[in-house]
Amino acid sequence: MELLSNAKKYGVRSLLLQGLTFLSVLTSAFMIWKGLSLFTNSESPVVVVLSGSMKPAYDRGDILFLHNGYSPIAVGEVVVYKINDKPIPIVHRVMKVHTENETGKQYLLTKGDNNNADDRGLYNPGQMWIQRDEIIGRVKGFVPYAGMGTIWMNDYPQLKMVLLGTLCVLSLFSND
Amino acid sequence: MDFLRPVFESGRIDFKGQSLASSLATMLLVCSGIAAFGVGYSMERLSLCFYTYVLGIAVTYMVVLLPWPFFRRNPMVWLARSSNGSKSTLVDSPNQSRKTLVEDVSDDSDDAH
Amino acid sequence: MYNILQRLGGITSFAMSTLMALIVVISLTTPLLPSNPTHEVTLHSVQTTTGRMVDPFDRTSRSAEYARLTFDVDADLSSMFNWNTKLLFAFITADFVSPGFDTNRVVIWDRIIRSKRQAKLRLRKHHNKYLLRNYAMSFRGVEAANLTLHINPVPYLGIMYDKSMVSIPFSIPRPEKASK
Repeated sequence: MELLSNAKKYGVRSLLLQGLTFLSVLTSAFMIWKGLSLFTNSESPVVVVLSGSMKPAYDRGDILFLHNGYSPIAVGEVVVYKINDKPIPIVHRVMKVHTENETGKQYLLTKGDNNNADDRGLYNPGQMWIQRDEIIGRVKGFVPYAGMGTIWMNDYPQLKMVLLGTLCVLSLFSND
Repeated sequence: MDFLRPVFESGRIDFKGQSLASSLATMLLVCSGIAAFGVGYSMERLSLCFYTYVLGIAVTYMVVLLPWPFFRRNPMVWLARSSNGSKSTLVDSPNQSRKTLVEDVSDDSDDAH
Repeated sequence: MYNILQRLGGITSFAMSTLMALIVVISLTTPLLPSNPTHEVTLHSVQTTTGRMVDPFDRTSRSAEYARLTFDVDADLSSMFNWNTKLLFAFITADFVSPGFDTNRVVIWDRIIRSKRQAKLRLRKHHNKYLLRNYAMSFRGVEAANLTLHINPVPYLGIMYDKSMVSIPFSIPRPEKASK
């Protein structure tokens, strides 16, 4: 109803223009994300820490900026890896690296700073090492607390709806 | 949805006030950023840096958000509504020199429809 | 900027931009801050034994050679704490060349240093915290071993970087039974 009266007042053209602006914002955000992904050679260059296993270095809700690159992984680097067939990426520190001469293939073992044991229990059953291609990126930059919104939205899905609703109402009523 | 109207219409300031508010906000925020860096670095505590900056934002809100009198010193000069629609005169105002023609932004005039 | 809501939006968005600029400036200037840590690692002995580790996730279940190092660490890292240091992650790696593998690098000891008070390390006759064994389960043909102390400062916010400090060469012997 509000939409109809708005259309009467400003015309269909301006409504379409508003839609177009909205779409261009969406697509440019997507383009920046994909461009960053291409530049860092990482499928998700910005991640939010979801667990406390790297305490006290990283806590829940911290944002990590990743860069994967093409160079081999060094010991002591904090990496984000995703085991094949497991959905959740994990942020841990690399503790062992063995690099093969001929193939350059790397055998890596990781461990969380706050965990007592290494990560073999998190890998696939029987898997002793992770490979270079299971690494999503190494942590290069770090901003604390900035991802708390994501955590809250994960914990309380209703919050997402409330937020979207508020945005919609605000965009309907601001005429500029 | 008329109950939302006061939210959108409150705290209006005049054009000169708007430009003043804009530059004040910019200046205050940039200065508080620089001050925050200085305070945090000299006290060797990063948390202090961000507390200073939050304080700066709070001060900026206090100064710029509310329609203080110094944002309303140059009120608009409106043309008087003429009875026959052919002739218009200036109403008396403290600043007679302004003759800017501005569309009615208030948008709540009933006679438009 | 003509009503309260517009000013609220304008100020908030500019405040966020300034905050981001502040964060970028802090992250870029932190690695430039000077520090002069002192550090020294002395290795006393390396003993190698053959054994079988009890680890439910280690499916190899073969006996392997494990090296046990005894070392001293003297380091004063307190100058590496600046206004943007949350903690220092100090770790010692052993790296060596083995047949077929040109880099093997294994963390044998680590410590999280959270304050200036903890930053004076003085370890006497310390053993490795993590087991040191080769990928091939044996130290046959292993050469050019090095012990290196690394410091990884973790900032409150900003860029991660690594400092490798001191490197001492050593050799890993075969277990006495095998060499006989």
